[in-house]
Amino acid sequence: MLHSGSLTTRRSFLGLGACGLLSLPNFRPAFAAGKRARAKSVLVVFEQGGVSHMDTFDPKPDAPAEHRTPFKTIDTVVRGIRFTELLTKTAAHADKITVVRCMTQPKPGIGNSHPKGSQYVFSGEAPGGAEEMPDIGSVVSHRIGSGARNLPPYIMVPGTSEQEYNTKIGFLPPQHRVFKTGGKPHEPTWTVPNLALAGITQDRFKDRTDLLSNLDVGIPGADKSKDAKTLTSMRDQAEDMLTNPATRKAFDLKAEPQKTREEYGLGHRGQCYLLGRKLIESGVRFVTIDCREPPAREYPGGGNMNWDHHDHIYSPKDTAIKGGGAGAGRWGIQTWPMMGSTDKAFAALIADMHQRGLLEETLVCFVTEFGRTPRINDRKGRDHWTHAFSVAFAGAGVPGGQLVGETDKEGGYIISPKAYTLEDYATTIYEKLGIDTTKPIHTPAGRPIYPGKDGHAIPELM
Amino acid sequence: MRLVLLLLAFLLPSFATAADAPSRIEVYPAKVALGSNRATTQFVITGHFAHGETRDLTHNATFTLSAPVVEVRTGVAFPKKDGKAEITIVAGGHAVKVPVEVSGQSDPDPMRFRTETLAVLTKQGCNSGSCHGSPDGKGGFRLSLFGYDPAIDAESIVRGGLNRRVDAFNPADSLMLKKPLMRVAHVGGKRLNKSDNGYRVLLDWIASGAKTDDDKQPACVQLLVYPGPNRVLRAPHWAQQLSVIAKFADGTARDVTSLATYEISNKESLAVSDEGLVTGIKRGQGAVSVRYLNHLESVHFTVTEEVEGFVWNNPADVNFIDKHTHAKLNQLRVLPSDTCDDATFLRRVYLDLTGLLPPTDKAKSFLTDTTANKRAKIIDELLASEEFARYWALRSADLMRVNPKTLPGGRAELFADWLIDGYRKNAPFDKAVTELLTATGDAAKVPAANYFLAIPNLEDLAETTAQLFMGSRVNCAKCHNHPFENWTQEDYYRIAAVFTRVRKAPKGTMVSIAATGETTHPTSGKTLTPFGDAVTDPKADRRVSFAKWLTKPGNPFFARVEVNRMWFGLFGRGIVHPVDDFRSSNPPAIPELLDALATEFEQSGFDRKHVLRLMCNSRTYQRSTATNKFNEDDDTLFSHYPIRRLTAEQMQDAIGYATGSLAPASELAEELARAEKELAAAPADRTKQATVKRLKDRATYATQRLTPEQSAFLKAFGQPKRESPCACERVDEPTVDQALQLLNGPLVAGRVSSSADAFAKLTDAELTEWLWLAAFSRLPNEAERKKVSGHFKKAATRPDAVRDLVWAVINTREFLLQH
Repeated sequence: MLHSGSLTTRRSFLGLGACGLLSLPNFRPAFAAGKRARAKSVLVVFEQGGVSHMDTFDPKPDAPAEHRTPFKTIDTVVRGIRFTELLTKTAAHADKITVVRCMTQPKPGIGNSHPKGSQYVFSGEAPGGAEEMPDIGSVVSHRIGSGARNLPPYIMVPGTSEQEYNTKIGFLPPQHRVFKTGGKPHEPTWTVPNLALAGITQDRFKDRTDLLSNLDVGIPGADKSKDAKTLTSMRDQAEDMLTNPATRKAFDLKAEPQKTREEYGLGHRGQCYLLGRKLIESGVRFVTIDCREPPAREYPGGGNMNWDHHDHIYSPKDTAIKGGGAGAGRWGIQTWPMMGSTDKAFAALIADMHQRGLLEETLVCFVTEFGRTPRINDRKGRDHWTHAFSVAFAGAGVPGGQLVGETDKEGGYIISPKAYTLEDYATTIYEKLGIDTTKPIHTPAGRPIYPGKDGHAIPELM
Repeated sequence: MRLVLLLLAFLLPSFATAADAPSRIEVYPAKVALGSNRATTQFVITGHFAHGETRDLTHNATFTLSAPVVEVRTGVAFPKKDGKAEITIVAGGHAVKVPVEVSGQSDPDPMRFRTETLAVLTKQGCNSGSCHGSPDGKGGFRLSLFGYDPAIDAESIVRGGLNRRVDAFNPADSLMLKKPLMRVAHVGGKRLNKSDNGYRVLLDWIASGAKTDDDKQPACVQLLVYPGPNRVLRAPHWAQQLSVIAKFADGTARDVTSLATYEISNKESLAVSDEGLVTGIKRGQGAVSVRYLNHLESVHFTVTEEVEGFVWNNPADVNFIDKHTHAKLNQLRVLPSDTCDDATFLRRVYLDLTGLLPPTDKAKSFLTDTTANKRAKIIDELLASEEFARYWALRSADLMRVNPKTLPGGRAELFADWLIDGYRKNAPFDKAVTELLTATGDAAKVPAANYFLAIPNLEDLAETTAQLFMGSRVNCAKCHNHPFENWTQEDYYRIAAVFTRVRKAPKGTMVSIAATGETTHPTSGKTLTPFGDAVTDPKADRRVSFAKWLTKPGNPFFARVEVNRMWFGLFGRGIVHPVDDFRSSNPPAIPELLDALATEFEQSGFDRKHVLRLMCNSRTYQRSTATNKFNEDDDTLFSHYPIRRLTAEQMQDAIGYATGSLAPASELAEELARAEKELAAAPADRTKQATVKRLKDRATYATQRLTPEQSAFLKAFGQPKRESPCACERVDEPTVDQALQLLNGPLVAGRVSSSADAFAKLTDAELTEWLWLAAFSRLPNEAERKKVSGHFKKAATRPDAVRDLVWAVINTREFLLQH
């Protein structure tokens, strides 16, 4: 149990540092009060299903041949950082990202299923606690609000049906709930639901609101009533959302130059990533891209193309095996709808955001709920692995060209002295945004909740 | 801060003039016995003035000793040497003599871990939930929350942290002192000063060996806080010293005023020092909660002052409700608003009692009715209606988690119908709750038995029952003693013990009671007796004794909680608020009102309609929403009617009615009779069967149906999923999502669109009148009629003009708000 050993080491290490026996260079009070926010917004790319780290960010060329990834290890633009060839395009931007190879779920079992694991990533806390934790994005919305009045503060692009119930609002009021665009943004006919006027022209809507202000004589005492005042301000905001050209523009992929659209990839994933960038650019505080290639004629057998490669992970087409398995519905990891489109879209996203200067104040996180088993199972697939997995960060002061942590030669367990958790991931986001994690949010029942309390900001990213 | 407060207290005007002198003074405690070199006594000197007014004179008094056995500083007696003496206390021109006895000054008295060290850790905030008292501690150092588990704390302090937290050889170098003093980095910041009493306690305790073996010492059994339970502070006399005395199991007592922790429920109105000196800041009310170890007592303060230009308008009382609200308003110098007009009243009482808007014909006739008691008549009429029973049952069903997901196979509907029937027949509330809490049998046939099936486990059953009928959120006490109330872990598991023998058939619907089964305390392992009246027969159903205890007149919770819920239903705010958070640290806004309502409820035989009738008829309920200069800041005392957004169900039905797509529910009876007749003619007709069922279940009305529809619209407006017993699951704040639904959502769009057909036959003037009556229960005024006719003149097509008008009307504040 190397991983838990390393965790213990880290915790007691910090503990000792705090006692003053060791002076730890990066030891500071854990609260962010008064600290300058490095990020104004956060873009999370959530690739759901459990991306195999050995096949992507953490290649293991020395693993036993029967378990080794068939894909070559390649150099990136940064000396000493190597990916597999499935990340060829991303490798060209390794100088802008930090790859953390020592991610782990500290309480194995809790997040070892997709629903729970996804919830763990969304909320940054192990599901099943005394209070249901809201998503990190909802907490951020509650704490620092929207960056653009005409857009919701926390948007998911598009939000898959599989994890529909794993985004949580918990004890927070409903206005902080995630707004999911839904649908297939890459299709020419797609429009964002609810934020576009439905069945009525802009002019007529204007006439209606004029008539409304003419008739809305109010009631006595309304100017002193909290509910009445909130209602009016919400109505103004909603009107703005519906009529402000910037709202439409934020979701209008067709307004992007064809060249840009092609760089991200013209399929579903590429366009979702691009939409994520557009929303960040429009001032949305927290964007999560949670997409997968939808079923299409060109991908037969690809009914549910997430990263849950229990069977036939290296299939050139779909992963179905005889007799059916847990991993049917996907395509092999190296195929276009899987890592092909992901590598292209992620590389384009980093390059594009860098070029536009958006990385200055946006924290970009590439996450998945867990890794996959270092050994290939008898169905030629890889199963869930919470002991070690890789995630990547860029922007908002995150150093580029950095590797953090190390796993053993099979990729199974963490051998570096440090290991980081999804709780640490959450705290990193909060601190990057300048959110004071020592300030509680009170539930309606008056219980103080401290989002991020179980984690420490990952020092290498700060 | 403390110094400033003390100084303030000294600077308060002294009582020079005879006219402003007290008629007598009262000294607490009446005698002083200091049995240890650490013992102290806090005096509290009260002056009694004309008209029953009291003032604290503690910090204006002089103390003269017959022999120097003690020294008195800032009203506190500190021992000097063994012996007896008399203190003469002079204040406000009166003198009182108090005997003093000092002993044991040369006997050793080691600092006690359980009664002193832990109290200091609480006082300094070390073991609070956000610091080392959190379940995982902080920085590797874990304490039990507010010291509820001394064994954990002893282990953690003395042996944890590589034995470096306490250093008996160099006590001042102990980590547990260096950290809070910030002599080494401390994430929690500076929590202690060397001048604090707490520093001396911790230092002495460590110096005397950091002993934690005082578990055989007598435990604290009672906390006496003086003065209490309530006090009025009249400007400029806004200071009040508290005295806190702990009583121990062996009969001894100790002054713990400087060891106790003080908290304020309303920081706008009150402040308190570490030494228990309470100071008023602003007109208002609040509780000062005093915690010592696992005991918590609260004193309720009312802070008053004269307000320039305030003249009490002496409104007449309709019934005792007004008497109590008026007394409180006058005391706090808040001027109540006038009575609302007929249209406002009608709309208000319809929405509150039935969830629905008044039908236009009803509104029209009410407005022209000249009968003196027409308001009382409409209240009676509504209380007798089926719509009332259904709408009020909906609120109960929310809290009892009546939903088809947890109660499938028609049981949710069966249970909901039972709740409706309770309101319909006005079942005495004590009987109804007893039937509920003691139900057994097949839940497919015994509606009330579903209570036990809707709640997944024993702990939840204990929590839900306490929350629903005792207004108490005991769930904190599952894992640790309640942080703001005297609920202990033992209480929690004693409530669980009431239900521990409830058996549910796996996957079945049978609820039965086993003859055996016990609940034990999670840490001590002690078998616990069930909460409530003692159960004499060990085989008896424990729920019966519990229900008897709960519903007995005089029970501190039952009647108060229910009348408060009814009040909440009519005002959108409880007298105790939130409605399920009764605790001494969260006092009622008008305690006399709550008490009187509870007594009335008990004496009426727990008649819910009787109490609702009194509330609706009161002037307090019928006040306007308009505020005046002297009540515009009030939002807790009901001096004006509180404006709030319509609930999800009210909103959907109101939109349905005002757009012409939903007929008044009161017309359903005729419709149902017709449909039943048609079905009788063709009993096999599926469509006709469905129609009858839909009408019977009133499924078209969100406020009237048996189970929640949970549509996107209703969810956006906060319709609860019915997953918790907390009234807070129903969210009532306005949000952007709701605004988007109203301006652009599919439900509104659909209803607005079809309104053109529904209203096609009405002339412009007829439509205007109908719309105003439907939406606002009033007739349009001249200006409004003009605006509307102008709108129709401008319009390209009439159907679109109708739609735009209807859309605008249902988006006005007058429509969207209850007022």
